[in-house]
Amino acid sequence: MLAKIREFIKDETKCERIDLPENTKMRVQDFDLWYDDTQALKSVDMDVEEYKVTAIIGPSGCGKSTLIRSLNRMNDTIPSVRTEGKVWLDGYNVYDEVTDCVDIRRKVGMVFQKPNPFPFSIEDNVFYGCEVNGMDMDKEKTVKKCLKDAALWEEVNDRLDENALSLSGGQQQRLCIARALATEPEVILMDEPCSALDPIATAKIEDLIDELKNHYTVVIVTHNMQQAARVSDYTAYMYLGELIEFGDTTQIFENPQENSTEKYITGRFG
Amino acid sequence: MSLRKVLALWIFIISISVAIYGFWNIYSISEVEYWTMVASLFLISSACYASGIHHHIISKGQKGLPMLVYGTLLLSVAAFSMYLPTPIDLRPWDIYVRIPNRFFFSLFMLLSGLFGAYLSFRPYYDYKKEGAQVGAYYIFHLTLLFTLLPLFLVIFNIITRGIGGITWEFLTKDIVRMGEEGGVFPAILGTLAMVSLTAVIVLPLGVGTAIYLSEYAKKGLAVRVIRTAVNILQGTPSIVHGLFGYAFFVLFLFDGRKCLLAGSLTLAILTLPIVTRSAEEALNAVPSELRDASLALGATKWETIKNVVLPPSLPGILTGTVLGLGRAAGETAPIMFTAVYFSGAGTPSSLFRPIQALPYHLLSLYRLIGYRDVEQQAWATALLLLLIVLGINFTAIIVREKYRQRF
Repeated sequence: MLAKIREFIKDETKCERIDLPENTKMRVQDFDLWYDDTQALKSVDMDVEEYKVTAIIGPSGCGKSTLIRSLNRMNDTIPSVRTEGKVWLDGYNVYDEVTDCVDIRRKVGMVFQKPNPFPFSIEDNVFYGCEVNGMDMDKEKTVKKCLKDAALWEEVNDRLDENALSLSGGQQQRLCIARALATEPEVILMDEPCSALDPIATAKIEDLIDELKNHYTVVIVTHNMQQAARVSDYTAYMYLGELIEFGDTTQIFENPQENSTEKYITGRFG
Repeated sequence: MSLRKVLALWIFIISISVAIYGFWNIYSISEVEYWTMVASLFLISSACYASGIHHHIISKGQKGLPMLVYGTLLLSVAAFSMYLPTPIDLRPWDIYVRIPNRFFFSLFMLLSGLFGAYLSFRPYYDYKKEGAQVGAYYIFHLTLLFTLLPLFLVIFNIITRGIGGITWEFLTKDIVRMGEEGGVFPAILGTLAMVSLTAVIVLPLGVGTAIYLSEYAKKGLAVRVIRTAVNILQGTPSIVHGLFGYAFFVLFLFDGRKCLLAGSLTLAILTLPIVTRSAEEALNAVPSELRDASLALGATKWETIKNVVLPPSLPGILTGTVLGLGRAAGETAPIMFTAVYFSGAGTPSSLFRPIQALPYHLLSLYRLIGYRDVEQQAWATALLLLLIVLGINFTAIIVREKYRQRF
């Protein structure tokens, strides 16, 4: 695995490397993040297992979205953000000076809270990532494969050239997932993907996440604890920028070690 | 129909008539007699009195009081207005202005008429809340009408006076004998050429600035300075642009010769703030979620701007640009020192040759009125210019409607 030359490393010889344990896809190590003078993440340590779903839960403003956006350096787009610490992906530091953050984002795809398809046709939406990355792929095949993987093919196969904005909210979100799959990522980050959707659309996305973990590593932020319990293998509980507890989902929900976790999960605050 | 409603209608009709008469007098040149105003106010106030007293007698209610107060107010104004000095002279206070009384009379008739019409809805709806509501509804519509009316008056006036001068010869010939004969063909071409060249210059500059401000610049002192500079540029009088164009482009760059390029450059500076601001607004209207989506797929910042941000904001950018060009097409001051001759320039042949343009042609003809028989030609030129500017603005509307995007 480590011998493979990674595209996102500009200069292989200069970068720092560590050996991650088997099955560990990503590791967040002593990671701090500030918005100007406000510290949003306080020395977070977390491992993300390969081909598993990791859920991040916690009350509003606890930094869970900030954390997930740190995994593919989406926070770089906010000028006031300053970071310290490391995020490892397959033993390479995402925040290394020689790392190309544009390529990182291709390998670590992201789905956002609000469905945000581009105002193009459905197929152009799916193929956008391949196009801007200059990936040499057959458009028709890629679109079909990604839409099938995102469980959307049956609903849209007769209208691929229609504007994506004509789809319903749930369909739009699955289109966004298909779009993220097209660049052949290894990790998919989902930032509250169901918070703008109705229960039926939510159920479809949850089934889809179950499918996705066979081929991808998934990290999902959710404020819905039932959802975290349903879809995830591991759960991280965050509070006020700190990672309070991390472990097996069953363990976190049935036998939380920390007082704060138990209070949140039993609904006493949050 | 009850007496109450009849009285209400009576107030309404009189008030509206007075308002229209006052409005008309603001725009007409004729003198307003003092007694017409007093008579108008007296009519409205008597109607208000009738309605108010009627209400007091019938229902012994207090709600007719506003009518009585308003009637008394109008009567007292009518009574005291005879002590108004005529005309109002501000020269003792070192302000060299004399305001004719008719201006105040007309304005007061307009306002008191509108307010009377507003009040008349109360008795009509039996002094229920609905009356005030409906009154407000119609009065705001009326003010809209009074705002639009001058526009239609201007357009109507120019069309009726100018249409007679528009002939085939006028449209296709060069001017002969200082505009008395011949046409304005080179001026039409000159205006169109100058506006197109302005568009070519201003579009990349304006859109580039807007992209920098909206996408790249970090919020801070530099952006505030640039934005303030753009606003100041927008507030600069066009004659200052013209003088700058003369000093910098004509004297410095083009060796003292007026030319098409100098005029277009000056107009580009004039329209730059309009284009920049509208483009910036259009870019800011693109949701940031779309930028995030594109970046998260591994697109670079420029790819994101090019593929995701620019296409949906293009209609807004084009609309702003075209509106700016509409302004540029009608400006005289920026081009009179930099690009245009009254006659003899001929059809535009080179970027470095002077041209003729419609706004300056109109100004020249206006100066000749009284010396030469060119009034008809002047109105026709005004009409042509108006049509070109309206046409440009209409194009902007069509572009916006056709390519309007939702997110």
